[in-house]
This record gives sequence, C-alpha cells and structure tokens, in this order.
Amino acid sequence: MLNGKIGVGFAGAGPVTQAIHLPTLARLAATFEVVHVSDVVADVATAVASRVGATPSTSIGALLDDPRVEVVAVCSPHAFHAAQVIAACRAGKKAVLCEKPLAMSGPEATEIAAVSAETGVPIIVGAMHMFDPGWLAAAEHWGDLPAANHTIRSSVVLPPNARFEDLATELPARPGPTAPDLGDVEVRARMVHAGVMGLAIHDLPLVRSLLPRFDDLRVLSAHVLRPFGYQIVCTAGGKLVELHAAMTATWHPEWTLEAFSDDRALRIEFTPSYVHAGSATAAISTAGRTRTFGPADHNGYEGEWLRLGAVVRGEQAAPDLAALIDDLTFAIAVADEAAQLVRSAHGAEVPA
Amino acid sequence: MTAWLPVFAADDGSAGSVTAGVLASLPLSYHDSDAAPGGVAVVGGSGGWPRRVAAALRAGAGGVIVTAPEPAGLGPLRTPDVAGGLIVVDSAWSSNPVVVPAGTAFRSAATTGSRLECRVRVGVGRSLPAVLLNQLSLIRALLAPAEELRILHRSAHGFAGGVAVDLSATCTGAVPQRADARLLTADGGVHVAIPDGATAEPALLTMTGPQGTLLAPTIYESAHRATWRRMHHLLTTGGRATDIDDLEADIATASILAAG
Repeated sequence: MLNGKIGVGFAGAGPVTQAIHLPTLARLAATFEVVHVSDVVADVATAVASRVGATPSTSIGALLDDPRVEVVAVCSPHAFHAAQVIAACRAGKKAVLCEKPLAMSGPEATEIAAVSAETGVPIIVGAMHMFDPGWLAAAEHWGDLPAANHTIRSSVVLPPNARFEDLATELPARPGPTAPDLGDVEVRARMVHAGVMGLAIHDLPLVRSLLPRFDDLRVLSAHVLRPFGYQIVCTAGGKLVELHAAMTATWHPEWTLEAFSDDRALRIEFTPSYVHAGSATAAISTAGRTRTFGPADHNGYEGEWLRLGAVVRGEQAAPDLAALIDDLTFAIAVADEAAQLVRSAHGAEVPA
Repeated sequence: MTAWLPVFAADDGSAGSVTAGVLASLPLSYHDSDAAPGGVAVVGGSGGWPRRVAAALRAGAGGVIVTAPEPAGLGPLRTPDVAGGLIVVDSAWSSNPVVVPAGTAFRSAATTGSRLECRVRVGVGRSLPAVLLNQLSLIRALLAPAEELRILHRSAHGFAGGVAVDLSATCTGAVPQRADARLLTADGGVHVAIPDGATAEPALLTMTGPQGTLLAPTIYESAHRATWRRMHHLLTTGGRATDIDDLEADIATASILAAG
C-alpha cells in the first residue's frame, strides 16, 4: 500500500478511463492512488498519466512490472480484455478490475477462470449496475421475485455517449461518427452483436440473476434500430426477456429494468453512464403497496471500486468467479443467437 | 340545453357498475331508464355481446355502447334490420380522452420515428385475446391499424409479438393496469401512459424534443365517461361511428393469438 492507499494501474487510457474511472477514483482519493497509465498511444498515456501524477507507458508489460501497481484496471478494447486479465493475474497483482465484457468468447472465459483459480487473484467486472446501491437494495428486498417472475424487460434510451462524456471530463478528441450500411445484413448482424456486448452487457448480469437457468436460451426476435440500437425478444428458464436499446440524438436518457411476477413487480431507473448523478431508484410493488429504494449518493462506478477496495483489504469476499463466467456466457449466447437470427430471414428486415 | 337521453343496461348486468358510475357523473346528459326507444343501451362485452347489441337496436335503442368487447363474430350486427345502427365501443385505453391529442402527436412523430412500442399490464387471469384486441384498438387510434401480427411468445403470463409494432402484454396483480405506447424519434419521442378504463386518473402524454419535454394537459376523466360523452354527441348531432368496422378488422388481426 502507498501511504495506506491502493495503487492502481490502467491498461488503456481511452474515454472510459478518462471519463469514468479517473473521476470516480478522484472521489475515492482516500482509498486509491493512480500510479501507472498504459496506452498503446504514447501521447494519450502521457497526457492522461500527467493529470494524476502517474507513470505513463505504452505496454502492458511495463504496467505489470511496476511494483506500485497493486490493482490493474483493464480498460482496453474488448478484444484485449482476456489476455490482459490473465497477464495481471499471473503477475500476482492483488486484484483486477476488468471493464465489461470480461472476454469475448467461451474459451477465453474458461481460461480466465482457470488462471484466477490458480493464482487466487480476485476479479471484478465493471458492470456498474451490479454495484449500484439501488440494485443492491432491490435484490435485498425482492423476496421470491427471481423464482416467481415471468417477464423481464430492459429498456435503454440514451443520447450519444459524448453528451455525458463531456460532462464527466474533457476529452482532447474522439472519432467522428460513422454511417453503417444497414442494407447489408452482415452489418446489421454485427451491430446487434456489438449492441449486446457493448450496451446490453450493462444489464445482462442483472437479467441473469433473475433467471433460474439460461441453457435453454432461445432468441425469438432480433432487430437493429436506427441509428443504433436493438430490439431482442428471447426466452430463458421459462421466462420472457425483452431487451431494447436506442441511442438517438435525444437529450432525455431513460434506463430501466423491470421484472414482473403475478404478485410482485420491480422497476429500477438507472442514472446515465459517465456522470456521477447518484444511484438508481428501485421500486418494488405488490398489490396496493410500493416500496422505493434510493437514490443513494453514489452510483455503481463508486460501488465497484468500493467493493474492490474491500476485497483487497480482505474485508469482503471477491465476487464469485463462476457467476462472472456465467454472466459472460449468457451475454455471448444472447449476442451470438441474436446476430444469427438477424442473418436469417426472420430478423433480416430493416425497420422503417 | 343539453339533450337528456335515457340510458339503460341492456344485458345481464355485467355493465351495471360501469353504467351507474358514469351515469352519476353525467346527470344532465343522461337519465336512468328501463328501456326506451331512442335511448342509449349499454352492453357488457362478455361472450355473446353482438346478439345483445342487435336485440337492443331492434328494441329501438338510438345507440348502443359496448363496454370492453371480447373477440366475437359480428354476424348478428350485419343483418339488414340492425346494420347501420349507431354502436360505439368503450375500450379501456383507446377510449381514453387523451387518445385524440395523443394520436395527433404520434402521427406527427411517425414521420421520423422508429418502431412503435405498445406494452400493457393487465391483471392475472385476464383474457389475452381481449387484451390484444384492446391493444390493437389503441394502436389504431394512435397511429394506424396493425393489419399484420406475429406472435413471438405466449403463455398464461402474457405475450410478445409484432411486425411493424413491438407489442407485449404482461399479467400481474402487483401494479395497476396500464398501457404504455412509445415512439422514439431521431431527437426525442412521444410517450403515452394510459390507466385502466374505469379510473379518472389521467393518462400522461409527453412529447420530447430538442427544447425539452412537454406534458400535455391532464384530463381527469375515465375512458367510460369519455365514451358516453362521445355517444351523446353523436346522437344529438346525427353523427356516425366506424367503431364496429374497426373492431371487426382488429378481431381478424387478433385471431392469430387464439390460433397460435
């Protein structure tokens, strides 16, 4: 520990690190200190590291060799997550926080599980809604809802990320918008896959915790929504799951998760990504009565780092790795089946 | 001076509670009657309702209100002696007074909008074909008839489906019955949340654009009462209604749920 603080090193210094994690850790400065920032783009590594007085580098090796780095935050592009998580475990770090998704394939997930078990390095996946006080309160009070629910619905309507990134930090530059060819079925299939692994992934662990099983997953419908989004209907564990997301030019974010049984209903309204706007608000209703939980003063970003700190200090157990692997397996299955359905006749049409 | 029309429940009493409540709120427009030529008959929409409507028209009713009709064959209403009679459908959501301004807002937004979503929550044990019929009536009123439908999933707990519209119904007793329709646009959207037809709780119509979100004026009137006012207006102005033709088309579309 550095003066009692936990030393953090970032693998990847893009918008997620700059707009989400550095502002979050600044709120937790009594617990964490950013000591190393690595990025393949040297200028980015240097610029971001200089903001927090950390050491810059351009390789994961340099990051892992830095003895002050006790916790590695993997914030690189998705394709590098698995290899970097495994490398951090093998380097004997105290913990790894990996941005979602943990990996992009089943074999990668299996390898991560094996290495984590072998090395004993705890892993936390940055699925921030899982650490949101609103969600945690709901899970504490929802009674038999996981078993009894029959319908789960996730709906996300968001402005482009830039709207909130620009309120959380100041980014020097970002890529310009692209216009995918939605007339190409393969483009649509990849967009649905990316939508699941990049956006639905926020809430799929929550959805899975409301399912008894998902080995019987069946995607019934999958559509790309313009300009970016998806509409997916599936069943798993005998329950109906609707996943909806649309990123438009609206200013008005709406991020909800609902679950219904015959006599109980859950509705959670999450605050948008990037900004520190407090926690979600959860409402659990039974006939004629609604209990509301939240909002708390912090969101899931702080929640995940607070949990990580407690794990490193030995105050709390690490998240169950098998559950993290199941979360990933579920997400990959939804993404793969939805993309495949888009390629088939049923999901091929482009909505008007 | 408002025409004071006689009104009577022309069935086994299934519409009785609705009739009493609405009548009490429109004392200058209607008065209770056993049966009266030229008056308004109120018929509950449970099984066999078309025959009861036809009987009321043959008995001389000037108009008939059908409350919450279930899917049914409309043959009894197509015989020459009753065809053309004034029949108004009292539907849980599409008869809500918000639907007129909401329809204007939805049709305007549809020029740049994406898929319409229509999600409803109903009580456990409700007839799902009847729920779907109500839903189709709402979609018709807000935007356009849903003439093609694909059911993706159905169970005792609800259904999900659609083609150009995403629709679903969820059965739960945990929260009040409600219909939500939403149309997202490139820079905002339109949303309407409509409560059950018996409550005067106002529906909420919001329109979101670059300048903010506008909540339309709330109307504390039940769908039932709004239907009765509409019937009164039609009868006193000689107006006509296409409710039965629309209902017949929606019944045909909804039949896929029963067939599936």
